[in-house]
Amino acid sequence: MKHLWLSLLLCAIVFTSLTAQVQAAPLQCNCLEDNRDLQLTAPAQTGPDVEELQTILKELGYYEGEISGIFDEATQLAVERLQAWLRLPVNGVFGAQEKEALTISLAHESIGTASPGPPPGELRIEIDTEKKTLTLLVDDQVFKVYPCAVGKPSTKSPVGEWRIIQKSTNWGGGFGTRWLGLNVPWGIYGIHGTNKPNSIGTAASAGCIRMHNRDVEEMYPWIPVGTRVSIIGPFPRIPVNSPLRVGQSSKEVQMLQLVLREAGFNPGYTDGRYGPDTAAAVSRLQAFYGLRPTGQADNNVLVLLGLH
Amino acid sequence: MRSRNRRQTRARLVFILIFLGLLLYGGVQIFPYCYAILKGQYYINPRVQTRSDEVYQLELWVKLPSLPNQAPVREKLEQIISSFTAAHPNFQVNTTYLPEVQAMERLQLALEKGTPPDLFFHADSSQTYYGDLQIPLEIYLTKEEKLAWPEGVWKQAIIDKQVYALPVALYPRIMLVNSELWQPTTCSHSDVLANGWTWEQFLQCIAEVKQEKVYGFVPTSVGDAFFAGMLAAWGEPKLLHHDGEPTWSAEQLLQLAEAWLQLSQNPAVPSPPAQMDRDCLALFLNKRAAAIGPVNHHLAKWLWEKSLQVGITPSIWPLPNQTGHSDLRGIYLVAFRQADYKGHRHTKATAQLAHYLAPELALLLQEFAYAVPAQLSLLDRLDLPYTAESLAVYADVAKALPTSYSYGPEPGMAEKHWQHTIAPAWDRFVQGEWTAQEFAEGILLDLARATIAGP
Repeated sequence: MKHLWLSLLLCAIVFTSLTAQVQAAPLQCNCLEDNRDLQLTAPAQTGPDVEELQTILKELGYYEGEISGIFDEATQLAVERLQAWLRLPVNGVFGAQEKEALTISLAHESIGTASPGPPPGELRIEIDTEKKTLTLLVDDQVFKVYPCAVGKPSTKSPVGEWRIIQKSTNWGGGFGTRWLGLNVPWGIYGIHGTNKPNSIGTAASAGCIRMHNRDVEEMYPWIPVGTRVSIIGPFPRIPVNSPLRVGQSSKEVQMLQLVLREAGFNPGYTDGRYGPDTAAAVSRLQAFYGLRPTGQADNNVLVLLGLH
Repeated sequence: MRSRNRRQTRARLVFILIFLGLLLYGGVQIFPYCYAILKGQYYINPRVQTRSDEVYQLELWVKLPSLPNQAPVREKLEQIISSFTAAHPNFQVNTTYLPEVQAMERLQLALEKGTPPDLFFHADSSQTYYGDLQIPLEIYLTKEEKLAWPEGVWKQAIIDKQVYALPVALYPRIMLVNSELWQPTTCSHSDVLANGWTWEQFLQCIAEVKQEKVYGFVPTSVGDAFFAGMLAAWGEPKLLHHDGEPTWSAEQLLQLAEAWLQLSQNPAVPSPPAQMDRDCLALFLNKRAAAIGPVNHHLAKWLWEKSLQVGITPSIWPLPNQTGHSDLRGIYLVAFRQADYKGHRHTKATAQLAHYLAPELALLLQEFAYAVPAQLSLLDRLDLPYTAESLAVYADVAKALPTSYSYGPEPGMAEKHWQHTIAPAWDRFVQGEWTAQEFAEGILLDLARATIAGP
């Protein structure tokens, strides 16, 4: 009888441990080890792998729905956002490519979190509005890449070269926990956290750069006021209808700076401010073509650059 | 007695032969120096040949042409030098690229220290003489080789009857006209092409083509570029001789001032005079100006292509000139010796490299800066989008001015003379702050001061 109880106890332990293994296994690897491609189908795909995917997507802030285990349209949208963040073709299918990229990315993120901070050197930020990433560079070497949200097509993020001019905490609401203000002359723009983490990886903001709160919190102490921020992206050509002069600040001045740079006359930073560097570039252009080198972007300069 | 005389005669003969032999040996030894002394240059002897068992280390300083992107020019130049060193394995050429703003200052300092480079090429400067350490290069050319360059081009490089600099290329200044609007009655294109035209003829022509809402002529610049063009029109595009003496008299400057006043009061040009150049490109491209000038090599190509795009038939005309010349500004290759003289063979090696580089650099400047090669044989390789007639005007090297453009004797100071002395005086005159008399007197006084104390 005693042996019987002992046998029953042993069986119970073995069963419990096996059950525990069976239960623990999906948490670790269900989504990443299953070979099935997860996508929107009719009837909809269901199962623990879908459930696991939804959990991960929710954790990353791409999925807002319930953990139902059913691959629905909301899950597909979340997969598309994830693909954009991972810089993969956006097709809503969670397959082997996505699994691999996600594993690498999460591993990288966990290493990054553990890192104490950037090494000494010149720090600058590069934001790619196409890839929707914010890259932290030290002496032009990539230190860390964060996903971010950028301006909507109707309120695009200001492409150009700016500086951090303001730092503050706990603006709250849509600005999240940290704010890094940029010196854009024609509006208030900055890099900040968010209360809509699911928007990260999309073009959703009014022009600011949104980051996950944990990311902006991590980066915040490393970034001193004065740090250079380059926002890269397509810059629509705008006509410049009247001459531009030293001292002006406008999108037209930035247009002039970008075109000067394209033409090989470096105006320094394309920050929309008509300062000495821009004036010197204009003078060089004028002298090159045998015009009077005044440094002012008069009609002749605008005609030469195809802006007028 | 007879045999003694015979011995004495033989001894004398031997002595004379030995003496003659020594004389011949000595003559051969000192010949290079005699030759150099006869030519007035003790440190050169073009008859000396370089030796294949000797290594020649040559310093080449280059100021590349002012272009938005210099990388391809540099790459091409390095290929040219590599080709030379491949053909001459005992030549080592160390090339230093001088930055835009420091080129002349660095050369000036090196000259003062007695350590200039063996060769100096400034792709934007027309200065031909840089002082006593410069080596005359013409002497290394045969008569046949010299015929490769037109006479006028050589003349620009002559200082004290010697050609110190090897002409490489020329940057033209021209006038571009809208053929549809430019229909003057007094000056035909063929006449002007054949004989040139004077300032007076030019003023008359622009008055003839003036219409309502169409100017006869718009200047590209009323600043120092325009003044330099006027100096060239009167045949003397420099204000100071290489010895520092002013080239111009007050009367000549008054003539220039008078010519400017005639232009500014001509109804065929925009007003006010000080801002005539304000909208020159838009006016020309919008068919509201029949002619535009002076147009440099970069603007000429740009404006030509743009004109065709907007439906203008452009034509290149020479700028008016009182002496029948065209406004072509020479670019030269100059050679130096160092204070610790390295010998005739080193100088010969320098001349050899210069001789090789001159046509190659001409083609380089032609490709990247639309310059006209100074050597006649290279003219048929000009690849520019102009019509044959316009190209003939653009590349009329036979009409090159007999004087080079330079504004002072010192390499580092020449541009500063212009910038600090001449340009401000011209600006005051153009703005109406100075009368013609004040301008002429002011410019000479400032030049005299600048020559004594620096600009």
